[in-house]
Amino acid sequence: MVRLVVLRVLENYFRHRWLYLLPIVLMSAVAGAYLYLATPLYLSDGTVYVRKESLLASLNQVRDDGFVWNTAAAVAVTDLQELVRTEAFVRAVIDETDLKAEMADPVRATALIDVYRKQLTVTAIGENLMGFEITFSRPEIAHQLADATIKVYKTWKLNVDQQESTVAQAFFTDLISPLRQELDKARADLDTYLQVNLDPVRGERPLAEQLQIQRYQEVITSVNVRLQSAIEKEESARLAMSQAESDVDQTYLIIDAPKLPTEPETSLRQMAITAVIFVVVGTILSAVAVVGGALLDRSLRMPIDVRHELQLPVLALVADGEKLQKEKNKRRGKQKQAVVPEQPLADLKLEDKPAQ
Amino acid sequence: MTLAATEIAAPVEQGDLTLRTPEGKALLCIPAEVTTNLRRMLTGLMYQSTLPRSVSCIAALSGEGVTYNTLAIAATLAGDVNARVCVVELNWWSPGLQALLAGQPAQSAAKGRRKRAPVEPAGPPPFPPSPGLAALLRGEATLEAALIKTSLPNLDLLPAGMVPLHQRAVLARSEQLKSFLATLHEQYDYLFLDIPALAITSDAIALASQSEATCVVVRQGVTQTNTVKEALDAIKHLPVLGVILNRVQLQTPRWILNLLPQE
Repeated sequence: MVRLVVLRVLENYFRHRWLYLLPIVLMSAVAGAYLYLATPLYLSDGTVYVRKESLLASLNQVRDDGFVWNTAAAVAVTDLQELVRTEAFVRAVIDETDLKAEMADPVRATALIDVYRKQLTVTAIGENLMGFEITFSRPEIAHQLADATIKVYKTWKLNVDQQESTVAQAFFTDLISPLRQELDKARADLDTYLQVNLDPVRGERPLAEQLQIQRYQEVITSVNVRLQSAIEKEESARLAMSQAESDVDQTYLIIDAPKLPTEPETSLRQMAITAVIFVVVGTILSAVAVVGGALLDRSLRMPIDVRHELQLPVLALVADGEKLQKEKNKRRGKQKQAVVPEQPLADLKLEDKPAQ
Repeated sequence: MTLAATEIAAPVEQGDLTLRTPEGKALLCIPAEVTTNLRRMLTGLMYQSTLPRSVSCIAALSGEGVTYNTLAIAATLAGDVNARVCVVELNWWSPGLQALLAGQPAQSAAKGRRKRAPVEPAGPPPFPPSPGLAALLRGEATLEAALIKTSLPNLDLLPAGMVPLHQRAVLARSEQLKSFLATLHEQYDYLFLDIPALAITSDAIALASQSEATCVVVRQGVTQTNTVKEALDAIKHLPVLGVILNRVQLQTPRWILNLLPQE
């Protein structure tokens, strides 16, 4: 059975050998074109140490099997990956590089955004380390993009933190002014009352006046306490805002800053391996076609087929008579053309005789 | 049996067997490669005493080369041994014997199955047209008139002739045909019957049954195994000598075939 299959496969291959070699030839051509056209890619990478752990962010991710604990690096990676999906973030990154001028063209801008998204890789390395790398056809751009990525990310984080402080500051600032007015009004009310109801020459104020004055003073104290509290909180918010930048720098500490790549990432060896893969794929396609063709062919090709399929002896293998005759006629025609007209012996001169 | 004088059929190339009319006009050239293989087959059958006196050549489909192979087997045998051999064409559905001898394409019943290059109309055939077996059975011609003689004195050919469609089934199963073939047996040592394809008519079974054994002609690389199996099922009551693979074109190099013997 094995011999039958092998013979059929071989016969099928030799029958249409040029057809079956076509995938190999085509894939080799593709490999050659790849080697010729492939542009070298430069890789710039860096590592960031993420100090802060966001407990809320870690706990709020719920799966079917329960809570999942996310490390600080994982949270930062998720953050960055989500940001990369936004056009504003990518534009902000590209605007930091020499590609800024090219962003004016909408088509080119879209292409650059796509390239950036495809070429950027962010991974969590351990619990606190976040690695990122970007490949580009120009080494300086790869370096600039890597630098800009972490820079824009930190700016975004800073903006988020500052946003909270800004809101708080604005809230308390808005609160201080009415409280001041309220306090001024309370004091003015007390003054007015005292001017209208002067101290008696002898003895104490009547009880009703004493109670009224005490009421005015309590209002002043209460408003004053609220005002002082608002002022303190507004100052705290302002302080937090000024501390946010340094906090972000400390939280996202760049361990390995991106470097300017000097050698392309895709080496000659890797390109050769890729080219070989093309050829191997072509060979596999050819092999599949040869074997498939042989297995699907249900005709009788060889004597072993007859013996195996029909259990009958093969009496004779008769060649194609017409074809044989045509080949012979062609051969004979050529021979006739090649024959030199014989010279009569009598006409032969002595010098025409072949040398002994 | 003694070796016959093959020189009567003047070889075109060494080993080629050219059938001619008694007047010397060329009818058909059978290449040496074909005769060599058929000779090996016949020798094997003869020395194993398994070559019956009447053999039918049959195929599953038309266009497999039954007529050519029947003629080639008969010519090879007649050229090699001093035995009287006759080819009887029983294929009234697509008679091709006279056309083959005249160098014309056969009137295939399955036109379009295999495309042939357009052939220019040939001149008159090099032999007087035979009324064929049909006329003989109708009593309109004598055996002498129906036979086509060849340069091999021990080889005669009997074309099918024309039989109306509605009479073919009756004729194929008739006692008349049976007794005629019995008469031919008395005159010839070997009869080779050219049978129509089983796919064309079931009458082929009746016609093949007129012989002692049959051999199946299969076109290599074209005819499907299942088709041949179905044909063999139809004639399973007959002894089958074996299969002749026709128009063989093995592309695998010989050295590989030697490494992987098929026995």
